[in-house]
Amino acid sequence: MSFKKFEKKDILRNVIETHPKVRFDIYDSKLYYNNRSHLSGAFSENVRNVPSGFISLYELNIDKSSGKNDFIYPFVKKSSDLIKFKSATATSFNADEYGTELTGSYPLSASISRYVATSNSDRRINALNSALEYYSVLNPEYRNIQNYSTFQTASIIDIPSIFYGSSIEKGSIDLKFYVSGTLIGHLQDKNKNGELIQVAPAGSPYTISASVAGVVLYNEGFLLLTGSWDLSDSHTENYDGTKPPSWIYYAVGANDGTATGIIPSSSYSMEFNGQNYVPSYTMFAHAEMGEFNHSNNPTYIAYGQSKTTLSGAYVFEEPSDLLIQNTVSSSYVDPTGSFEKVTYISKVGIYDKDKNLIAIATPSTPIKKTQNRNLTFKLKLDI
Amino acid sequence: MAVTFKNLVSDRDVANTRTLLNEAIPITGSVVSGTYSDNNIKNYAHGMFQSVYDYPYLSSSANHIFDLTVGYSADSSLSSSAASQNSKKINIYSQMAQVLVGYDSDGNIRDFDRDGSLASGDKLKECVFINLARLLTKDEIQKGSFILSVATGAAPTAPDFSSLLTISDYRATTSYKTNSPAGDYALLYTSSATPNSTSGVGLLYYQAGIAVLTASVFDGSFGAPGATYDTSSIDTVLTGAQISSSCDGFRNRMNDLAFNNTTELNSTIYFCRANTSDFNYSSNPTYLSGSKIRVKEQETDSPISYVTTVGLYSADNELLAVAKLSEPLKKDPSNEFTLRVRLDY
Repeated sequence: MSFKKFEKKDILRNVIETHPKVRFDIYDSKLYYNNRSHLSGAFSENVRNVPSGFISLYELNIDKSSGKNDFIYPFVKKSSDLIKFKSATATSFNADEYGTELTGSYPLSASISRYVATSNSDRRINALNSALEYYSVLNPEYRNIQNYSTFQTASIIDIPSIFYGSSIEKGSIDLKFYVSGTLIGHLQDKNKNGELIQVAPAGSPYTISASVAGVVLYNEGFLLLTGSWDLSDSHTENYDGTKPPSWIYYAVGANDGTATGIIPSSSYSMEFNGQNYVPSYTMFAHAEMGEFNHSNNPTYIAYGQSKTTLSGAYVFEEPSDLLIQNTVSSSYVDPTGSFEKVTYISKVGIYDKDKNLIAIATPSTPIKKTQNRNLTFKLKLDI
Repeated sequence: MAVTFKNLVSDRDVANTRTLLNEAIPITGSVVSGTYSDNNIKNYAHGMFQSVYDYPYLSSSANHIFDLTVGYSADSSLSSSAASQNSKKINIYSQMAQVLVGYDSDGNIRDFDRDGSLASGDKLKECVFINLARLLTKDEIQKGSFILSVATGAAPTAPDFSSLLTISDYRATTSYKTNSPAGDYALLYTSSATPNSTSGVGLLYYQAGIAVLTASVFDGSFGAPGATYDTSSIDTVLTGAQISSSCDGFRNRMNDLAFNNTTELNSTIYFCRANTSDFNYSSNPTYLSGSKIRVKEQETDSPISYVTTVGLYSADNELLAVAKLSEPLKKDPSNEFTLRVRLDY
């Protein structure tokens, strides 16, 4: 195996920007993620073993049930590095002997959740104050949310980052509020500056005035809705006592403790795109004329030769006159084609400066390399 | 953004550690034969191996759990041009052997060895290969954790699951072998009481995630229910039926498989030291009020800051990682602290 150093021009560093599309539908305190259908299995009523609207990290435990088709679970042994699972309390961890097997459980799951802050001293609003202040330079609406003197009830919708990656894509948020299947409100961040503006239904005074019903924290994954105007003149429902629908009641039932059957007429949809970055390396590995035309593979030597080594107290010598297998084809059985050093490149290994193998590229078929042929392998490594 | 940097001294402030995280992987036998009416079994046109999933493979939720195949050595007594898929079975064996056992000094592929001593001893010339998915084995199978129980004997239509043969890598934690190009491996035995050089029934390659079982472990009839080939023994199935039929036969006799995997978590611990005169000021906009330091009432008051975040920078001052504290730490000239920042990768 030969090594060849990459030159500066052979390595290109890029970042691929991806935009995963996410959609949640919420109805009667149930969530549906990206239109995923319910799957029942032989052992479990729900094969993913997470509630509807949740994502399962790793998705290892498919159709599992304790005692019938047992779950995969993680464990570590307690040692001096003091690593433990987050679910273990400090008290129980301290009580465990060193060497004890500490177990966790799968599936780990995540979904959106809703929380209503009714006071400006609410700790969740306090926790978001710094972020709101930071973004208020971009849009004063952020400061309006945290304004202590005029604080109004805020509905906080928390979106875990597993759904979007680095941040939510600006301008991609689309929130719809339905009553009995009729659209009564539609919000978008169409100005890409964090404010959620009512864009439908047409004719509504709040649509005409492009009223702002809340703000988005794109990097942190929070929607804060404060729009308290009535979205319907006639409809009332038990959102928080019997009240007309408004934006602070958007996504009621999204993991906020609301029982099923309480709000039978309202449904909601939430769509947005994530924004995720994948560092990508493109490397050009050159096999130029006269390079990589020898192999150390055992099959490179013609079959049937003695490879007995000479060894003694002062010498170790391998035979130096072994014939290389001639693979040059000819139209005739005899004579064969004229000898030429030919290899078939089946793998390209990438090594670090200490010659640790860090990546392997395998072509779909071995590539023939003759002495008078230049080859360049374009390798792509996404991290 | 930080304006104050402090250099980490590599032999004093930086330490590297490695932690092993394990997962227990149970695979229920009925899942690989029966539960899903073989909709979780994928056969290919090339017919050289069979893939097993944990759920019908047309579902996006299904995970690939292992591949199954069989093969025999070119000098096995079963090798014959009349045998079904003879060359493919030899090729499978040779490919597995060259990757897992390697070559001898003459460039010949070595056969699998019953006791792992490659120079001599009994060879395993007819084998069943279980190639576990990387999703399950992660970095490697934990030594001493592999347990496979199979039913041997009885008719293919009704394997006797009341009498099971348990195959495990007994004593592997202390007696594994390293003379393989594919990493560590250990012998598989049918009993913990008598592991010796002649009682091995297979080999388990920990980093490769491959179990090799000798076909002779199955005595009596062998095959899958409804077989149209000769099921009188595993040898007749290996010679008279396709590779997929032998795989079907193995699945039909598999009761349970369990092992633990291992993931190596490499960590670097940075000890970030804030000495008495360090980090007592901030460049945050809120640190000033009316061009005066907000936390000072009089000129003689000590400066105070609240540390909320530690940033790790490269030699070129590029921000590489950020550590957040659960709550801000008050820092003034009267105190010092060391923040232990652990970076896992």
